[in-house]
Amino acid sequence: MTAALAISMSARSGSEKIAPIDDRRARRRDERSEREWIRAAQSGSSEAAEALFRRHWRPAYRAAYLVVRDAHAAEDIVQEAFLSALRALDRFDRRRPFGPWLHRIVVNRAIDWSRARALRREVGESSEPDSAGAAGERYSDDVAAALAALPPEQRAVVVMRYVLGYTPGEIARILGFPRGTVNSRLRRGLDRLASELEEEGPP
Amino acid sequence: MNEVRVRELLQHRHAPGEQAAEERAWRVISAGFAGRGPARRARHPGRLAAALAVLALLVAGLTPPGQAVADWLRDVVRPGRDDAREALVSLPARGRLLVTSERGPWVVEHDGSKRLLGAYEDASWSPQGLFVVVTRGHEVIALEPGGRPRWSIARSGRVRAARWSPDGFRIAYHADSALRVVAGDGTGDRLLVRGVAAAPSAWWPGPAHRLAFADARGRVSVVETDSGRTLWRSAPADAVTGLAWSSDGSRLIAVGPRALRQFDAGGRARGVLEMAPGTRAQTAAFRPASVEVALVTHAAGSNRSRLEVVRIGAGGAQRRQLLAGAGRFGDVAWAPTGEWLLAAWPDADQWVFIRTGRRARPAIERLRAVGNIANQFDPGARTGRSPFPGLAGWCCAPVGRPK
Repeated sequence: MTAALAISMSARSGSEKIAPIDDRRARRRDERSEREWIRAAQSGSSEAAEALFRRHWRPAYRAAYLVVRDAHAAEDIVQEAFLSALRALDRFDRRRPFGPWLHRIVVNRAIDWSRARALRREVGESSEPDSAGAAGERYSDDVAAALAALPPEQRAVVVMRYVLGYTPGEIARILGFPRGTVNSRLRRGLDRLASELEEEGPP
Repeated sequence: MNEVRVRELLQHRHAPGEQAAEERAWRVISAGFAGRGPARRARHPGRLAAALAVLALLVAGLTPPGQAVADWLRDVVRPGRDDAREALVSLPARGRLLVTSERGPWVVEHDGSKRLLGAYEDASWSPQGLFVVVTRGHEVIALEPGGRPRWSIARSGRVRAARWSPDGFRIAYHADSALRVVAGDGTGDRLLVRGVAAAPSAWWPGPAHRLAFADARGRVSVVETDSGRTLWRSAPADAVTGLAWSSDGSRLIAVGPRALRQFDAGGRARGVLEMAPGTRAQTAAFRPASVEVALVTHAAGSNRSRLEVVRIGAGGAQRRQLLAGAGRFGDVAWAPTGEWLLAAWPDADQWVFIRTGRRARPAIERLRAVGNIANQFDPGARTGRSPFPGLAGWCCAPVGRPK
C-alpha cells in the first residue's frame, strides 16, 4: 500500500507503528455520522439510538466476552453499559466520540465482574451456542483460555488494543492509567499469552 | 508472540451467542430508550433534586401514601435499607455462616464472632459442619473449622467448587472443566466426567452417592458416583448457573439466567419458571424441609433486584416477594431451620436477614439489615471499598470437635 500513513505507538517495542490514511478518513466519516446520530438520539430518535447500538454492540460484546469469558455476563455488562450511556446521553458532549465513552463503561464493569468472579467462582463459563449467521470464525477456546489466565486489568488492556483497536495512549486516557502502565501491561500480556499458547516470542 | 499474531487471533472473530444476544439486548435497550422520551437539558439539576427531596419530605410527613412515595423515591435512587445496623453483632438464628472473601473464607459464629480460615478461594461445609472443604489453586483441602488442615490433594488443573456428600464419605470438585470425586478422607481421587459447566455440582441428600451436574449444553445429569452410571439426563436448555436439591431429595432445581427449571428425583420435568424479558435469574436456594425456593432476579432495564419465595408446580408458580430494591442482590442462604433467610445486597454493602413464615402470608415476620459488610470481612483494607464477600452456606448447630 502506498497511501500516506498515520502514526500510532506500538505497545511491545515503543516504536512507531503505521496505519493507512484511508482508515483515518473512514474513521472521520464514521465520527461525523455518529455525531448526527447522537444529536438525533438526544432529541428522542429511536432510529438514531438503534444506529448507535448497532455500530457499537458487537465490538463491545466481544471485548466484554474476552475479559469475562462468560457470554451471559458479557451480554449483561454491555446491555447495562448501553442503558447507562443512553440514560446519560443528555449530558454527553457531541464533539467527543461515543465509542471510547461506552468502552470505558464496558471494560471497567468487565474488570469488576472478573474480580468478583475470582472470589466467588460460581458463575459458569460461556455455554452459549454459536450464533447462527455470525460472520467469521469464533474465538478459539485456547485463545479465550489463554486470555483468561491474565489478570483482569492486563486482559482488558490487551482486548482494548487488539480487539477495539485503540492505541496505548488512547487506552491510557480511556481507562485513566499512566501510559507506561498500559505499555507494561501490554508487554506482559503478550508475553503471558505466548507462554500460555506455547508460542515463541520475537527474537 | 508478536502483535500481528495477536491480531490474527483476536480480530475479525466473533464471540459465542453474539447475534442472539444483540437482538435480546436491543429489545431491552429500545424499551428503555422509548421510556426516556426526548431530552430536556436541566438548567439547574441541583434545584430539581432539592425540589424532589422537599416534595418527598412534605408528602411523607403528611400522609401514609406520601410515605409510600418517599419510600419509592428513596428505593429508586439508592440501594439499601436505611435501618441497617453498623456491624454484624450476632446471627438471628442458630448455626454458623461460611463466608468467602478476598482474604479467604470466614466462619461466623452465632454470636457474631468470626474466624478467618486462611488464604483459600472457595469453601463449603461438610454435612455436620465438622469440617470445611476449601480450594486454592490446584489444591483441595479439608480443614477443621478452626482452620487446621486435615488433608489435601493436588491436581494438575485449577480446582474449585468442592462439595461434600450428605453422608460425608465423598467430595465432588471441579478440576478445570472435569468433575472429580474423592473420598471424604482424601483418598481414592478419580475422574467422574469431563466437559461440565462451571455451576457447582449438587449431591442428592439421600443415602446413595448421586450427584447432579450440568454440562456446557445446559443439560442436567444425575450420576451414581460409585458406579459412574448415569441415572438420567435432561434435554439441552438454557445455560445452568446453579443446581440445588430440596432437603427431602424429591426435587432438583436448575437455575439459568432465563428460567428456573424443576425436576423430580427421577429426572421428570416438574415445571419451569420463565423470567420476564430483560430479567435474569441470579441465584436460588431451597428452603430446608420445604419445596419453596428463594429466588433472586435482576432486571437490567431498571437495574432493580427482587427476592421472592417461589413454589413451582405443574400448574405454574406461586410467588411471594420478600425484598426489592435498586442495584443487584447477591447470594442467599437459608438458616438451618428454614425460618430465616439471609440475602446479600452488594450494591448497598448490606446483608438483609428476613424471617419469613411458612404460611402463604404474611411474607415477612421480621427483617434485620446490617451494613458495612465488605469492610468487616476485609479489615485493614488500605484503600477504597473491599470486594463484597460471598455466602457459602449457613450450617448446622454447633457440635463437638471431631474425635
